[in-house]
Amino acid sequence: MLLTIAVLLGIFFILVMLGVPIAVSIALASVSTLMLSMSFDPAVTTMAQRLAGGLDSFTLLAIPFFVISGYLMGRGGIAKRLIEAAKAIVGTLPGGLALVNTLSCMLFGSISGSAVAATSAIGTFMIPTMEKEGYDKNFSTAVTVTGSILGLLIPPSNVLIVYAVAAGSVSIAALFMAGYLPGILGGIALMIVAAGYAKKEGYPRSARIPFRAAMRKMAEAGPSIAMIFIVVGGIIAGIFTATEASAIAVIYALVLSLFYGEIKLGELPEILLKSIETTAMVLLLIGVSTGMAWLLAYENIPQAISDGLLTISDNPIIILLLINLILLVVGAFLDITPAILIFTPIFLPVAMEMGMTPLHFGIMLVLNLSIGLCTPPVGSVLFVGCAVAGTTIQKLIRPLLMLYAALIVSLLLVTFVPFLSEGLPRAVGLIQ
Amino acid sequence: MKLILKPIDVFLRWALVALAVFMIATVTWQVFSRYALKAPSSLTEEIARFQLIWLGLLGSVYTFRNRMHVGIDILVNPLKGKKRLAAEMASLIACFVFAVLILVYGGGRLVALTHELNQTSAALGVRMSYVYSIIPISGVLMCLYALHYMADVVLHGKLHRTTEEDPSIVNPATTKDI
Repeated sequence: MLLTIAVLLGIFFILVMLGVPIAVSIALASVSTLMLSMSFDPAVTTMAQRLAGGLDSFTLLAIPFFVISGYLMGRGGIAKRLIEAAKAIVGTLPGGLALVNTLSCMLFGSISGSAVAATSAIGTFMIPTMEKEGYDKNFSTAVTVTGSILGLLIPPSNVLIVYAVAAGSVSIAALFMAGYLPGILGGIALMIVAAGYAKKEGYPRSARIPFRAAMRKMAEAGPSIAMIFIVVGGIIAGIFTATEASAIAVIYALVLSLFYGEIKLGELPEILLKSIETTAMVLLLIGVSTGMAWLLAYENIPQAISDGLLTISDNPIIILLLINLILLVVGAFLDITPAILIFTPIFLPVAMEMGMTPLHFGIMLVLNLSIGLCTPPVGSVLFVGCAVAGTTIQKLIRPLLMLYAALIVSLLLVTFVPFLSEGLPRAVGLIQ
Repeated sequence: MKLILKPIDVFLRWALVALAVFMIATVTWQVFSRYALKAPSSLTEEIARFQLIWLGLLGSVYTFRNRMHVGIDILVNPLKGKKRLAAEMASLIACFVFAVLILVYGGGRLVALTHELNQTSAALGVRMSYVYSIIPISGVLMCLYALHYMADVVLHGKLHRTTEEDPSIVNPATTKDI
């Protein structure tokens, strides 16, 4: 058992440090480990089969579709329109632009389904704007990266779909509803910290926008935000499945962007290829992570880990804190998709034994791991944020620390207050 | 090498675009047939699932071709000259080994096994070996690209990096987080 884990982790880390793609590292580490307990032929055949089997899922089809629709929506003026709408909502509060930044990132992250896309789309525009108004560039960047990750909890969300596949028995409709309150809670926590900091530093408020102009700005962002309502509403009302909704989202985004004249038909193949690139990256990770999860189950490792955790304590509070701590460390090193696929089978049974529902656990897991996207050493959103702003991670750490604190407080609330995750799905009758 | 890869490039791009369009059409048809025709299609779900397997594997080759698979290069990027090339070579060899062992050999064996057992899919009744055949096909294509990149490292001391290094362009294709 220990040998298995040592071989698996050892090979994985060596390969990753050499710059080998994560997916390939996962696959090679898993196959080598598998060869400790079976011969060569069945080991590689099993891996190939798990890889294809991991992709053989109607639910996962939603991922390419949401990527395509996000890409279609992300082109052209949508980022600007969302920023204008956000200005109308929170622009006049203390630290106005910082709050606008957070809210725009959340909205964009939700529509595009990608925190990296949110950071680069909103950050490119907001960070220089904030700098012009006297905000510290590093503070603005920190606000952008932390706001962006919350879009992953607010549906439509591909990582929640990945979790639904990993957990097996959770409905996507319920997960989507469950993501709202924690996502908004995280946003409010970030905004409180940002506003407090802005007040301390004496950053300016934006000029008050007349009510009618504010309404107009929100109406202009309407068609983009309407996609969320069509998709999420359709799923929750039971009109279509998540996958079908994602295909509808593609059609909607296509019609909308052709209508606005932001995309020409001739650009479509290029847009599809870009989306496929992103999708394939994730799909390969899903395939190989399915293989690794199978290997872990085959070696009874999830069982051993949960037994080990339960010998430390049987107090739910301590166990859940411990799980969160481990996941924060995992998230700092591993991308969110493989982390979800590999750690759901390990920790979900323990969490359930502690009285947590799979729905509640999923929201906690996704919030926890998305924090890892903006922490060093490996945080894709953090890297993109630094690149967009032209700053370094070292300079970001100070403003990031207080925003991390806001996220950790939200994570603790989400962990220990089931209502945050379960209230909304229960209110609309998706769970008992 | 370029002579072989050029037509493969073109083939890959069009095959992937066609697959994506076909996939969107399949699932849209599923919704349409259920609501408008009141006669839900029983085949669309399976077709779409198999398309996803194909898209995932062929797409991975395309992504590898553009060197866009997520990796951690903060440790190797500061290296200079020969050391940097050696790290690049190690990474390419790992990808090559993955393609040969798991995709070509493992996938090939999977195709042979399912073919022998005459395993067919539930709704369409297609042989699963045809569905799985994309695994070794993708493996072979990935090997070719890996060899091409290795040749560039050895012969010209040239590093291929991702096609997009400028993250300020709004482009979810640089995302790793979904």
